[in-house]
Amino acid sequence: MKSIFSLLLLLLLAFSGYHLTFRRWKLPVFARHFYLTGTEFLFLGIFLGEGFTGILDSPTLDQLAPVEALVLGLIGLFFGMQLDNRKLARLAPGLRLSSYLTGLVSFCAVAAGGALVLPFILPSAAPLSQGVVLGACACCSSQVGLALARRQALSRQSSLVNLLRTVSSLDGVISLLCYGALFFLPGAITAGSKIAWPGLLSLAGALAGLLLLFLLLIRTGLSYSELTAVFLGVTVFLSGISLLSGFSPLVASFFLGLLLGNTGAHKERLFRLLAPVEKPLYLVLLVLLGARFSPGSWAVLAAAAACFSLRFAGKLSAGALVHFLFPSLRGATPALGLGLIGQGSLGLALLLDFAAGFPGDAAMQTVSVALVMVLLNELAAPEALAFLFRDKPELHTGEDAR
Amino acid sequence: MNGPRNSRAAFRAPALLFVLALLTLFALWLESLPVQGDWARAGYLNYSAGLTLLFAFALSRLIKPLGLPYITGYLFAGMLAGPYVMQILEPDLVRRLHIVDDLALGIIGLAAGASISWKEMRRLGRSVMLTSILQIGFIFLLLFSFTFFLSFLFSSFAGLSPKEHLALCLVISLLCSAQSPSSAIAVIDECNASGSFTDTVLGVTVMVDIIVICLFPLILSAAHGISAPTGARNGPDFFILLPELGFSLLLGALAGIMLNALMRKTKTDFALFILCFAFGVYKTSDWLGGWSEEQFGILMHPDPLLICMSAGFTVRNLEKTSTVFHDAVHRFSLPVYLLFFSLAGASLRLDALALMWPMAGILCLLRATGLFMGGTMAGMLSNTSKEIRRISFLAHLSKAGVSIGLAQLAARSLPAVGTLITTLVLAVIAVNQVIGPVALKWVLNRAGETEGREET
Repeated sequence: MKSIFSLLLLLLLAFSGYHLTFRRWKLPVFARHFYLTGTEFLFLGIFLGEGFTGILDSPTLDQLAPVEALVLGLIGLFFGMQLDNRKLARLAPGLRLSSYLTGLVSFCAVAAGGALVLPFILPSAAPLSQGVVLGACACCSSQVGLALARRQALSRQSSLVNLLRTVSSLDGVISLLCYGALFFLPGAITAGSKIAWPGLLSLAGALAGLLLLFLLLIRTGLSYSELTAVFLGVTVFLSGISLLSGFSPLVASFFLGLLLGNTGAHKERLFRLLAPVEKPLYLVLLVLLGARFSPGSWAVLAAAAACFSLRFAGKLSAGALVHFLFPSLRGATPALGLGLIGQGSLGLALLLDFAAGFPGDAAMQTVSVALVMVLLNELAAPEALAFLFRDKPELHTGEDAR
Repeated sequence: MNGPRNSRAAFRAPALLFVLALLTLFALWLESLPVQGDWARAGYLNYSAGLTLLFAFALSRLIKPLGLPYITGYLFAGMLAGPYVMQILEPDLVRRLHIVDDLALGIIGLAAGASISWKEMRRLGRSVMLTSILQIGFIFLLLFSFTFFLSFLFSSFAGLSPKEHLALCLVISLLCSAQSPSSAIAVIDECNASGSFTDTVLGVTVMVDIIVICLFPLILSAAHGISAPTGARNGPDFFILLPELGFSLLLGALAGIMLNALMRKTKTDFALFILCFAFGVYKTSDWLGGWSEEQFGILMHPDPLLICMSAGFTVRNLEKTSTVFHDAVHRFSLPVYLLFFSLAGASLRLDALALMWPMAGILCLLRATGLFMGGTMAGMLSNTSKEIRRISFLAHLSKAGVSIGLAQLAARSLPAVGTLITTLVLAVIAVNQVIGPVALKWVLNRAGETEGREET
């Protein structure tokens, strides 16, 4: 009964959040940023979780596992479908490369640094997997800061804004690939649920089969409601296969989304179908993730501070490297990394996937560290972005969000 | 101009057959997968749900050229995936997926309420009430006469004492009168049917269930009094029933007013909230029932279907936002219906049917006769056309949800005949649920209320 009420609560929050969040309200400067980015839902999750009210405790979260898998599947599909090869091919090669490079450098900085530093701070059982997950999460950056800025100001810096937008759209690919690789790293996973090669082959076969199935059904001429049913069926089905194969529903759905987004002319219809549920999905994700936060000890805060510093350094180095390697790239400045501090929500989806797939102390610890890191990022991001655009004071998100 | 459409239509059947074959392969593959741990168990649930959903979808579209309604395809898909054939949906899994039932019934209730116009009901009220009462009366009379006087023909009744036999006959006769608003609404929705006949069918289907729910405690207390040695009666249930119905309608009306106000505020993307509402009503009713019993010793369980219907009716008749509401209700209705009716198919007791088919067959025939007599007489009294009078009984053959729920309650109250009641009712449901939707679609077409209006 509790799990059912929890699900109900989640749906209600998602609905209310969808209509309340991401709007340009006149709120105090500090509060405004949290409310506009949806971070308050992370706090709400923490409040509902085991550490506080206990409404979303561990048994309840276990019972909500199918819902979690569905949410992750939809997020993965949506992200994959956005990567249209034809659109990507229109981007300058330097722009694409710099996006992937930025993600990779941030990943390496946090993953390597985390794997080396974390064992000294936390009594960690799996530094390698923790490092990979934190690195993959750190790799994602967000466009929310840009979305909240005034259009006039953005138009004056359009090259830089375009570059930031492209980087923050594409760095998620590196993040998902690195996270997917975790499932094949020997000894990286502690819970004994490492994917086996037969499982992977089955999954690949299933992906191909599902794609074929979807395309066949699409070709029969579906109405809007039929498309909804088929799409939901395929997503639920794929998340089930992934879970049964011991693989991530997020990554598996990402690949299916990638295939779907690049085959057939039905993409626009699918986007129209998914667009209204995207924001509610992310809000549910934030609440579910927040509920998995375990305050633990001061060591968690120390580890989060270390990861935040590593990410900050990684983003700055990545920006500088892009400027150095692609000097002709329009908009590239040595301080480019300052515009990428905001945390991308795909990284949070990946954290939930990890927490659900590998239950145990190490995963809980990783999620807690990552969540504090995310909050630090969210605090630092507006200031960093403002600093990047310091010669354009009207872009300061704190002042111009309205 | 028609080229792409025709090529699509030509492509449809082979493509759907191929999809079904692919899904069957997936189902066979499922057998080889180990299911260990919470993560894998969640995966198994999602896998089965997704597979059933896609299977039901493909099968229902494949049989459409035969003139069968989609709901028949969903039911057959459920039967195939269920515990008696492919065993993908095992009983435990069906139980875990029953969360979908609540959601679906909530949406069905909202859709049913939203399809009833107050003006139309005022016009059709007399005819609806008359048909409902006459149908229940004739079915009860025919079934009771048969089960009471001719049951010696069947060995299943052999071991019962006369009192137990009488109790069984009373309960079975009433339970077989119930109909299935969910099936009716799904078929009406699918055919996009509208008109006086459709409104009457919907009104009668709902009204019959309301009357059966009201009569049930009376009959059950009588049956209990007859069969129990002490003659104890279930008095409190009856006295709580009317306030319970009134409370449900009132709650629904209040919820409808709130929904309407909310829609005016938010205007778009209301579908998610509708899902939440439909689901919440069911769970809150369950909780309220448990809470009232625990606190006051009275099982005050507001009927969630009535709440949703009343809410849908209120929103529809407040008019201004009805299009937004209609769109929101129908946005997710197809996947929910697909799963709901597939699960209903998987829950059909084919073993019960195999065991009781001669008796169940006769009960179904008598039920159809009762529906025909009731419909014809009501039609004569309300001056309906001869053609409609002759065929209208076919629109009411479906039966499901309410009968199952009440049969389970009766089985708990009358343990001596409980197994017989559930087995017989489930067998009758199995037959009617397969025939009912097909018959309803045919009648709606015949009445000319679906012509050229079906969803493409």
